[in-house]
Amino acid sequence: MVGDSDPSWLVGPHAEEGLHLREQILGVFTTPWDHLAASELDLLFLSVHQWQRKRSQLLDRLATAFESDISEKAVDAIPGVPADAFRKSRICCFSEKHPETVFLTSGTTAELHGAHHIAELAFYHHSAIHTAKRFLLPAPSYRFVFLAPSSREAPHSSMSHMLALFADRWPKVGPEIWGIQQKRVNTELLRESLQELCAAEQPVALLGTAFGFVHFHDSLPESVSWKLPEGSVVMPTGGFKGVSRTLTFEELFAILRQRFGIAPAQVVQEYGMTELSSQAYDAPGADGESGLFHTPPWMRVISVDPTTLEPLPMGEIGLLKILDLANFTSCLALQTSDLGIVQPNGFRLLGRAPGATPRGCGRALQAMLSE
Amino acid sequence: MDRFSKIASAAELLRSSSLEQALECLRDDGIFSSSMASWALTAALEGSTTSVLPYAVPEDLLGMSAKLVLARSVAIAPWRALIIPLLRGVSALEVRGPSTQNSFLRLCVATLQTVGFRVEMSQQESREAFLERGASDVVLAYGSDETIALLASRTPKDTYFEGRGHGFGWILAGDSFVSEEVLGAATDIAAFDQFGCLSPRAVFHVGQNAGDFAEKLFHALELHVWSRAPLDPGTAVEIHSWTAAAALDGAKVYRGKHATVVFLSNANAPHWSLGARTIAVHACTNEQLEQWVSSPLVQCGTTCVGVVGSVPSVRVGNARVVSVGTMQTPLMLWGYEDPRPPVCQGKIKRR
Repeated sequence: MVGDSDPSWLVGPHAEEGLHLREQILGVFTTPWDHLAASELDLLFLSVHQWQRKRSQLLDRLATAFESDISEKAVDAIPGVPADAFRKSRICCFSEKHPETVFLTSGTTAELHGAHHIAELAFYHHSAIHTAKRFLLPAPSYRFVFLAPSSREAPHSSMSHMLALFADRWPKVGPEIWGIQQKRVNTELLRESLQELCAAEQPVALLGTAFGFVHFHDSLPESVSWKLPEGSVVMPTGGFKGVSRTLTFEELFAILRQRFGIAPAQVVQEYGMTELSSQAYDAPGADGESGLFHTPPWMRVISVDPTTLEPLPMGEIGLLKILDLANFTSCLALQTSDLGIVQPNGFRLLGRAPGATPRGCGRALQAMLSE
Repeated sequence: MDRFSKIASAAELLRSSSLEQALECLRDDGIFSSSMASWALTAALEGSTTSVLPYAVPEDLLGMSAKLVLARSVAIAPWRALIIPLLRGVSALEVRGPSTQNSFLRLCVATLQTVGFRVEMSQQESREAFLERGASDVVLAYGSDETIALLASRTPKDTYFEGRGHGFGWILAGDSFVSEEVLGAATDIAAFDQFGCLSPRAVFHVGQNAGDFAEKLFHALELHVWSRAPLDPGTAVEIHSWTAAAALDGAKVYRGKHATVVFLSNANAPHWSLGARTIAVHACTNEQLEQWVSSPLVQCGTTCVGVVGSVPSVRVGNARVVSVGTMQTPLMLWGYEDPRPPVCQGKIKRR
């Protein structure tokens, strides 16, 4: 894993321009958000996009394939790289000779994983910490309980890395608890830990995967519950891979409320992807309904027409495209397969675009021909 | 009325009093545009006349009972799949179709019942239960290779089984092509939005002008053939991934409202289409072409090769080799032998 802040990867073509952009982006992270002008950020998005095209032949090819007539001038029209591309190629702006951190998408061992190559973790760390302080972990300190494998057990998991980062960068008031060990929920450890933590007054940050929460819930007798201390936060993230059932957010929230005695405002969902360095967070309403996801200023979410990939007006359902300045060493713009609606103060997530409607001889044949 | 006249009458009903209903079914099942649905219905029914039908297929199943299992396929496929066993002489036919996108199948069954055929639809049971319930002389099936193998294994050993899997077409192009040929290629690709068993799934161009052909093909697909039906988000996402993969390989990409064409000047392997009017034009040498089309998958799965311009001769199993613009016509013509031999099990019991 690379060090936090080390610009030694910025050599070769357009390195000087890259160093200048690097300083600008790092400056953005430490500037108060209300001091950041949208027009300056727009310029930075466009500059980084153009620079990445010059640095990476693959990014240039992808941008050329998906660009529109106004891609050079309009931030919203910067073409996004389909997330699938990360499974097929090394999508980044630095030499493979340089040390790197690689985060891999989850999935079965038989599948080809997407790989996010990162030359310098400073961008990831700055973004994750500043955004979490604003939307997820506003208190000075927490006892951390993670429903996820540790970064030692899952060295290529961006989620595990992020959680370890939180535990490392927030003031230490006790050891963090990793509740998933060797791919199993350690129910006994979690029960003991929560028993102890709920008896104290220190806020608890109970963070992990949605399916981790469900597994934990399913392992407990119905009567077992806790009341987390005031100021605590629960963050379920991701989907329901590996469980036999999927839940709506409302169903998951009902489970969390029952088990942990929390109010809606204490549950915060995270939207993140292995292929991104930044995250978005939502805070549900008083009725528990999932709210708007909020992003840091250096992360821009745009809804695009699924067929043409042209930007849509606010309020229209489309595929989400994400621009992320923290992806400076890899790929600024990502085209997701998630459907959503963008509004002035955030975006709503409607779920993954369902699998292609079966038509004719298409699907089985495509699988056959692709082997 | 003999069976040929009955089928012709049923076809006439679909063309006339049931026309609107037939078109609506095709639009829904096939997710076709209105113009595509109209063309597809006309094409499917064209050969269903008393002057043609008696000579269409051998009557080797006279007086027999048959079960027909249909997987999801091109929307008009049920018409041909239903009348073939009837033409072969089947006296009682029971059908189990796909669980969704089966409106046109139901309409065809109802129409054939109206003219006096003994045709019934299975009621919501699994394919296995359908095969195991009651006996029949013959089982006919259409589906993927895996489905065919599964159905064959579930068919009683003393029952004749005949199954047909998926297939695909491709286009072989050379230099000296004319605009009518480009339009013909576009027509073959656009028909059924490229989801048919005869639909071209790649273009292999031997010559110098592959890039020119790719660009002209894109414009023909965008401007001069049927509109593509609106894409569902899932299909759109798959198209973007397919396009990105081609771009990563150095393809020149043409993206439009009705098609995506990628031109690969230096491909290591074929970039097969996923349908929905996506097509890769590969510039290749004779040696590369020979290597690519000699693979067992291509040799066994190719139904039809469409030819453009001056090309080297090619043989691909028993596939038809025809001029572009006519790749889809076997649907309408009889006397066409599917080049892919069916999977057969057991023997036809003679009465």
